[in-house]
Amino acid sequence: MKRVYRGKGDLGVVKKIVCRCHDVTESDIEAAIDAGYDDLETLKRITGVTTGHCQGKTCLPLTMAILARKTGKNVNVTTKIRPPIDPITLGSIARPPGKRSSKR
Amino acid sequence: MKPVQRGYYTREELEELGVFPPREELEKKRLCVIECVEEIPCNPCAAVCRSGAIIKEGLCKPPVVDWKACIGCTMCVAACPGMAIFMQWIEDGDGYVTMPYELLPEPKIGDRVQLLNRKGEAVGEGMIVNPTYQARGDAYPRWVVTVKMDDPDLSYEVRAFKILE
Amino acid sequence: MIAIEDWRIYEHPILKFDRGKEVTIYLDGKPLKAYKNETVAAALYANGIREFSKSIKYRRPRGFFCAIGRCSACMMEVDGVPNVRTCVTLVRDGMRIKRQRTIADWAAPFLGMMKLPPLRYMKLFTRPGFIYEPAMKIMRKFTGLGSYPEKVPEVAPSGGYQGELSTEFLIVGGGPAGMSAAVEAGQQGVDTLIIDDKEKLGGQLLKQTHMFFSDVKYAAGKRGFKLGEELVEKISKLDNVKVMTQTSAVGYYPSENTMLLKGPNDTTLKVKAKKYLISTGAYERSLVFENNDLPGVYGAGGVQTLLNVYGVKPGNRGILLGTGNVALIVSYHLLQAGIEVAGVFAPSFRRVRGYFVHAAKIKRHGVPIVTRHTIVKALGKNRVEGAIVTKLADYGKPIPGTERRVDCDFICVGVGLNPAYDLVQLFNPKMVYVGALGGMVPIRDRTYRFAENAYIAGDCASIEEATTAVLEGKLVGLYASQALGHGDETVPEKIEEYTRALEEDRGSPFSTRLREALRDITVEKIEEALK
Repeated sequence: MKRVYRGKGDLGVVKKIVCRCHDVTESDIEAAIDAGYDDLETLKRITGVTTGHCQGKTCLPLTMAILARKTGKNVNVTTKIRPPIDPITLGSIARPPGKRSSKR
Repeated sequence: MKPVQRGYYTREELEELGVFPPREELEKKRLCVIECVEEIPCNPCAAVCRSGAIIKEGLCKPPVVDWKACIGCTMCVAACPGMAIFMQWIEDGDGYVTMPYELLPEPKIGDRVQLLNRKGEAVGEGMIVNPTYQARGDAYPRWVVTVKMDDPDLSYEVRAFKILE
Repeated sequence: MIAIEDWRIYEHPILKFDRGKEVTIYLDGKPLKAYKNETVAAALYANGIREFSKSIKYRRPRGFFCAIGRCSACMMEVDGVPNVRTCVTLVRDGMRIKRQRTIADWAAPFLGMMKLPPLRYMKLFTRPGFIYEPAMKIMRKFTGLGSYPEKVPEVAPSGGYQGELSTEFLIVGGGPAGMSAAVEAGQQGVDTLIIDDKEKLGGQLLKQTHMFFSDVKYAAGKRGFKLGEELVEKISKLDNVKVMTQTSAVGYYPSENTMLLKGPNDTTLKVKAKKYLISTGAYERSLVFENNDLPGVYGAGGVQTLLNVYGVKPGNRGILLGTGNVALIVSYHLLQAGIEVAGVFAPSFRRVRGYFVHAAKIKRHGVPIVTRHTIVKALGKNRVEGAIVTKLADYGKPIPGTERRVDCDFICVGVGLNPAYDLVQLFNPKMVYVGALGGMVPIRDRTYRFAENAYIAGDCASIEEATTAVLEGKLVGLYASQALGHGDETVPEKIEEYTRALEEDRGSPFSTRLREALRDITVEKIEEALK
């Protein structure tokens, strides 16, 4: 069965999610690029993309693609990577060595 | 559309590529038909062939079959990682195709099957005559199933089957 | 709420699932049947639960995407601990799992009516200045993932480790490359430690039920999970190779030459090694389309994990998006599990990019392969109920009017992989974007070194087949043992043999671009390139 699909206008209603952790949509990123945040580091700070728990594991390539498409520039950078790259509880770092339980 | 776009070759295209052995040979004995036309790095077929019938000039060259040497042992059918090797023969006016099989339910002798061609279309019905679970040591475990069909011409088309309940 | 469903696969032509003992877990107080060897996500999924959490801002339903602890869409409250990745946490009898809810879940429909244009919320309540602070306090209540636990959760007292350790060779990532490197280095007498974040070694090999191509001398003709088991066995026979599972790298600190590891039960470990091998593999690439976060949209790896590791059906009828071998192989895996594949939709123009034989073996079972198509929208409210696909004109533009609906209950995104770039970058390498290799990769020298003390192998060096990852791993294992002053006189011989095999493996026309790209990013001396 064929049914013709009519797309709705995109007013932040259509959700094309780029960053799952922080719910950043494609239109968010496009709007930010239009507003002048046209490099990865500033884009990351204004939209929150690549700053979620997963640290950009799915959204960084997508963001780079959108950025390259919108600006026409060859995007050849990643965001600055800092530890921890895997989520870790503060307790496990702060705990004195040798103690396993996080009970105080 | 090119075959690689469609995901299948037609019988005519394969005939041009010289995949099928001559008909009179097929009426004499079981022979392997290798539908592997791309240059991919692979060589289990040549490695398992005991009679030296499958020749690969390099790791990435498509295999060439010497039908005179082929003894129809079906080892290559079990070994081909791409499931691209089949066996064919014609006996008493019936066509036979040996295929690798990795689905459920388990094949049994006498099972009626729906015959599927390279496009996945049903082209007729057949019967399983010889299902074997082949494994050499731990390598290449896989069902190798021979299906009998009434029309010998169909044996050039049938490349998969579905066991009917 | 939901009728009792069981999505487990009990009969499979190739695999036998070792599920272990039956246990009971509780989701929001409701008892569910689970098995000991399942992860929480797989157990929930097997019981027909698709929605694991609500998203942070728009409170949209989320299920998991990757199923291998990368994407964090599956976080729930487990035994009082918030934000636990359920897809890598094993179940325990009597485990209590809660969906993380906030006040925002009830407010979301009303907030949704406001229909703010993109980024507009950034400017809300910013002027006049004095209302910003109180407004922020209220607004914060409407976001977030969960709430603080009422009491400090008790961590299981046993297991895990704490402190420091030093070793000669630390391998991060126990996939085909890491394991092969461990075997080679171990055989040369190198004191090796191999870590992996899953509960057992094997990486993605454990999910591969198809036979591999390549040379019979190395891996060809073996099914992936068998190859994984073989390598695990080889490692277990070597006394000088230590294995730590459920352990992941958290960071590397170059000034101290120390890697911080996170172990099970919330423990950490500092490791100093003379040489490191990063074989962390790759991350699944996602695709931007409408509703691409609905429960039911998965990465190809996620589907493979569910199907072939836990034996749980992702759905009854699915579509595949993607052009490469991954999409074709996953659709074959789906067929083997008795799941209908409604089509493989490939955005590529000339052909499916995978091997012809992979395409042929799904085609002959009646799976349509549709090139020049892409998805525009996933349909459904709380889970996928269908998809809308469209035809593409040249240069990838959708042709209006060619949209059609495909009925399916899951969508599998197999558009490719990106090399894992994060841990690599902590070594301060020189990163370059190379399309043919999959994404950001470091410049390396002939011995696969990308920093003074670190090697790279496998998919995080370049997206390729598992068989090439095995060879790369073997080579790195040998190079590292040479550099550590171990190897015997057979090492140069072996290096030559594996290098030749690797070259042969990459000799097909499929790898032309890859060969050229690899040649471009390989330098003579890495120290000079890094200056």
